[in-house]
Amino acid sequence: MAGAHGGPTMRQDLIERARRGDRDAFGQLAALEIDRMHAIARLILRDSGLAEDAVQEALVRCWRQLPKLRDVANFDAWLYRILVRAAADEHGRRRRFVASVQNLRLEPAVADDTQGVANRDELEKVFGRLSLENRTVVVLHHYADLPLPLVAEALGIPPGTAKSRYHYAMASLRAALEADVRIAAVEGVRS
Amino acid sequence: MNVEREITSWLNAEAPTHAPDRLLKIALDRVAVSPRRARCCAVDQWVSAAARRGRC
Repeated sequence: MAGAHGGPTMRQDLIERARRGDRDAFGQLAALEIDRMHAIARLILRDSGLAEDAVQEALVRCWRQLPKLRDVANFDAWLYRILVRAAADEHGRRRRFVASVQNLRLEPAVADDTQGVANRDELEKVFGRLSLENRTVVVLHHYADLPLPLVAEALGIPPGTAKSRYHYAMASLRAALEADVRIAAVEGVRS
Repeated sequence: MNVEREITSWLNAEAPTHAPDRLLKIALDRVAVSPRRARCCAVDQWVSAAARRGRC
């Protein structure tokens, strides 16, 4: 999670100082990382409010757990892991809340429109329907630019599991995109 | 069609470029009141209690 500002030496210095308890250094480090953390949480959770809660929680956990970080070189994977866990916790909290509200209201669930819209919205729909775990792998690999072995390390899962989650997610997304192309081609022939 | 490239460009387009301004402040306010370890917290409490009793 390389920060957008400041060189690697400055960043490493901030991590070291924050690890020793320097709150100002932690504030500067958080300022370097927060945009990327927020973007990743937003992509995974598909909800601005949840993403903000996840980032706040991740930064608090980061501050508390930083003394346990043994190797500063592993900071990025370590921070990704904290962020992804915080995102999963927020996601779980929201699901429990929604379930409890639905139980109270006793309303029938609205059927999902699986036909979809014939454009890129379909990609968003399919992405939103993937499990949180599968979305996380895709975001870390394609947005955070982590190779799959490092995604596995960041998530604390075996490399084979990361690979299978990735392939499942990509197959779903590929099918959505290819359907979109087919529909566009049919519409092109008609017009 | 290169699906991997499509997904990457779609994610980059979807991702917010900046976190809301208030987010950093809220997070750091929470950090400011977060003790690092339970032991530190206990020591802090002991020192506060001792200070109230006028011992330090």
